[in-house]
Amino acid sequence: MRRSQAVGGHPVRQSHSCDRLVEAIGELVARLDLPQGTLDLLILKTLALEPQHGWGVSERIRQISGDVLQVQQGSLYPALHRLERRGWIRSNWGVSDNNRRAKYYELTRTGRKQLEEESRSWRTLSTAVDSILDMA
Amino acid sequence: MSERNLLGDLRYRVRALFQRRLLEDDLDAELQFHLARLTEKHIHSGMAPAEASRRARLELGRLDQIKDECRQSWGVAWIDALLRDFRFAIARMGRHPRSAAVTGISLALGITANTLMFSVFMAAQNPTHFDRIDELVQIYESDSRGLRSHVSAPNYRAMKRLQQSLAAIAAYRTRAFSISDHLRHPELVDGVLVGPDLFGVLGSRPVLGRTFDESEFNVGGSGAVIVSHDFWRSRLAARDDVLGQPLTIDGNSHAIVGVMPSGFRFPFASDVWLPWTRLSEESSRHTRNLRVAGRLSAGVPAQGAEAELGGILAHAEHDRSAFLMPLAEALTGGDRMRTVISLLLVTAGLLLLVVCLNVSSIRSADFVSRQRETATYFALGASRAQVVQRFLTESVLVALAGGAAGVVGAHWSIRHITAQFESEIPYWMEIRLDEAVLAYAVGLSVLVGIVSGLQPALRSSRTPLKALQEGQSGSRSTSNLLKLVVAVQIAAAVVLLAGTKTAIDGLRNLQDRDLGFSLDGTLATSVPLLSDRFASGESQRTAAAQLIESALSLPGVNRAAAINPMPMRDNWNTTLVDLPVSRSGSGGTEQVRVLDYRCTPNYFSVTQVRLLAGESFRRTGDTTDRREAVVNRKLARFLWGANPLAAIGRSLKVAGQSYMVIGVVEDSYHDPRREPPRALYRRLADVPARRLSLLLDADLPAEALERPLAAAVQKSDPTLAISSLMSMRSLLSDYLSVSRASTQVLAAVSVVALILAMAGIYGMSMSLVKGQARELAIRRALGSSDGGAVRLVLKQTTQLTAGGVLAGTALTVPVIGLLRSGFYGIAEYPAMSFATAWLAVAATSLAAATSAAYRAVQAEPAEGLSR
Repeated sequence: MRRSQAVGGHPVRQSHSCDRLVEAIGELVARLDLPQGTLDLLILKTLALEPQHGWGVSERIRQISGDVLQVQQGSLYPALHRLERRGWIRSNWGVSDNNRRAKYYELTRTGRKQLEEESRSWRTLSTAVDSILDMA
Repeated sequence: MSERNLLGDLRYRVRALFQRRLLEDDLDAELQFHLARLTEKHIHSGMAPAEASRRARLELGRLDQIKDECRQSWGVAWIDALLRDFRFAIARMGRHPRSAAVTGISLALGITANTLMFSVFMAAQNPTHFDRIDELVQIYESDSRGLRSHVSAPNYRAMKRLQQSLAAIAAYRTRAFSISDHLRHPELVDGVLVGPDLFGVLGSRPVLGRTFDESEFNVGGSGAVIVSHDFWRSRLAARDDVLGQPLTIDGNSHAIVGVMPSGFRFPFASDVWLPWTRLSEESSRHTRNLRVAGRLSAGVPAQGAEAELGGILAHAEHDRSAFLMPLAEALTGGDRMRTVISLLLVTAGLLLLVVCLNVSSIRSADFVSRQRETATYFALGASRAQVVQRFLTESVLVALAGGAAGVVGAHWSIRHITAQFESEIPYWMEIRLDEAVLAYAVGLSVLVGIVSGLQPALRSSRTPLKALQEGQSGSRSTSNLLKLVVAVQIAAAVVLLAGTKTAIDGLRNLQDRDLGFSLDGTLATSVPLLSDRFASGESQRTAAAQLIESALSLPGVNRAAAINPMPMRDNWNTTLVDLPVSRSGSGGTEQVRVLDYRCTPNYFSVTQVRLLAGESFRRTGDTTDRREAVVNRKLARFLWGANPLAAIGRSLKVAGQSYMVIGVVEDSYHDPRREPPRALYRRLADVPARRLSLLLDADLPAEALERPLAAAVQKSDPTLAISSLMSMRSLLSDYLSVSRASTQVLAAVSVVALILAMAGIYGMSMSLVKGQARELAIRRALGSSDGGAVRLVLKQTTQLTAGGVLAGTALTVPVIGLLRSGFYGIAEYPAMSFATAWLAVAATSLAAATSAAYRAVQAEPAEGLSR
């Protein structure tokens, strides 16, 4: 049942006729995992608030989204490393709140620019999708 | 991505490659931290620690998979894969050394040949020592029939005065010079009389000193000379202070004004360049012996210049026109060289193609036998691309190993060939393994690896289902092509081996043959009469007599003689004469072409040429009214029948002068590679010559006599120099050196052909076994031994070999015909050569087929049945 915990695969408790459609979309997204750009955007946004380790990033995303979004743990680290290679984030070893060595990631200047750009295009996209959905 | 980002990205990847340990440890620690926090979280929510830890692991997913994905994020996954395939390929090569060796050696040979040819091609494309050689032309005159010649002095002056299409034009003439200094005896050296501005035209500058200035071209000027780098090193001990030092050349003093760069020998093998002071005095319209070089003005095409110069010549002399040849071509005797190099390049390319086919067939058989391995890859989730990549990596790796060996082979061949053919390779061709050639070799190796591995890799990486559907049917046409290629290789090996054996026998024949004169105990040297004082026949006559006398004055010298032309040294074509002969019976006269020797009376006794009838020249016969001649057996038989006695007392007319035949001698060779010619001997006293060779019957070896002889000759005339003194045997050996070197090359090529044929048969036999795996397996299941299986392969191989040998033998006949023109005395059907070739090819074929068959049979005993 791991699949249903992934982003979008979250159980939907609405009872109208869209139920099945949403479920279908949810399954589709779950199977594709989180689209790469989306996960990147979420990570960048999370790190924009403060430097964070991988665990912190996944917890923060979960908390802020009110348990709606849960990053599939397995794909978090490849994404972090990819972003680091691209120079959008950089990492440093630090000490965590419970006194353990942890690897902290922070946003770089190019990362910040990238975040702005991706947020903008995400908003454009979601506005467009919203307006189509509102037509009904 | 911005430039800075790109750099950062690259830095990250490099770190991932070279600080892998660190990165892996980091990753591990990072994931462990995550796992610990997740477990804590579950414990907080009330789970038992063991259950919490299990749950955490489950949620995070498989650690090694995550790590793998992270590694892909580092951007070095493909390098990792390549390295893994690389290690795997090396391990595989270790397990199958025979296949790896056969393919590696074939590839090495193919790449050696191609690298070598490419370096020769590059050397021919980029002549050294000349500035912008494509602008340089050699200028010839041509008559109404299109016959080409060098230029007459008046015509040269007309062109120089009137032409506008050339930036510069200069004349020169090659000849030998006698050089001495206060330390040494005169020495003969090839050199050039240089017209004004020749070095300017060529764009060549000395490394030391300068070129000639204008005053040095004036008659009676202070003689100047420019020397080659070789001459400077060997004769002048590479001293820095040679400029201004005097050299005595043909009896006159010349000051050294320059030393040319290493390797510069314009036009052919010159060591000295002298200003041509008497160029302006040359006036003969009919002596066309000025070599003329020119540099085209920028933007003027050669045709334009040719038309303009042709117009000038036509105006100066009736029916003359100009012919321009690129200088690079003129230096090597026309475009023959380019044709030869192109041919060799194409041949090497074809050879590589054959190698590719052979290697491809060996790989095919190899990969097919690895179907289990392939199936395992697929089962483990590998994609077809990954399997193909693995096979290709292996194939490219073997090709690169072969290529590395090939580069070593090419390096070695270049050294060997440049040493063997030193005098044949023009000085402006610098054959070497430079960056371009190396890059070519590497590129070619990779290409060959891909080409020879792609088809087998694609075929053997078909998914099992696909393989089942297609079965073996697709391979039939390929295998027929393969058989044809192998048959052609066998045929080529037969031709080359038979040819090599014939050439080797021919050479041995030449070395052991009775040439008609004594090889041991007879020493020879040449003494050209170069100085102007030897212009008259009388002075030449006196000089010849003095030379003989000074040689005889040396202790250890028993007899001495002089001759022109010298057997085994002087080109006979220049001394053929047409005798007008009227035969008894028929009324008219006919022309008989004979070799015209002029010698001193005791030539026959010194060289031990046998007298058959009559007598030799009398020693004291000074110029008398009655001139005497000796003929060889061939000429005597041609003119007067088989009995030599019939020739004695007959008379001959040469150039209007009557001669009486006083003796007949045995035929002797002039060029040992050709049949002895009809020969006429006259006395040097009657018909003097300027180019003399001295022959000594001596008790001392050449090395001991050379210095005293040089001293004695110089004493008789200070301008005279001798070439190095050699026994007739070393003269013969020198004469045959190019033939010997060519035979070595031929032998090397035959060995290559044999190895390739072997690889071809090996690969084909392996595919044959694979193709009949099922049949063989059934036979063995029914109790037939491995021997039966091997016999089945051998039967097919033998048929193919027989076909190839038959075709090769048929092709050998014309090749032997070609060789016969180079080595006189080779039989028309040399049985031993054929037998050797057949035996070698048959043995090779048998060995390769047996070895391949056994290897294939033993590889996977049960596999055949399971298919």
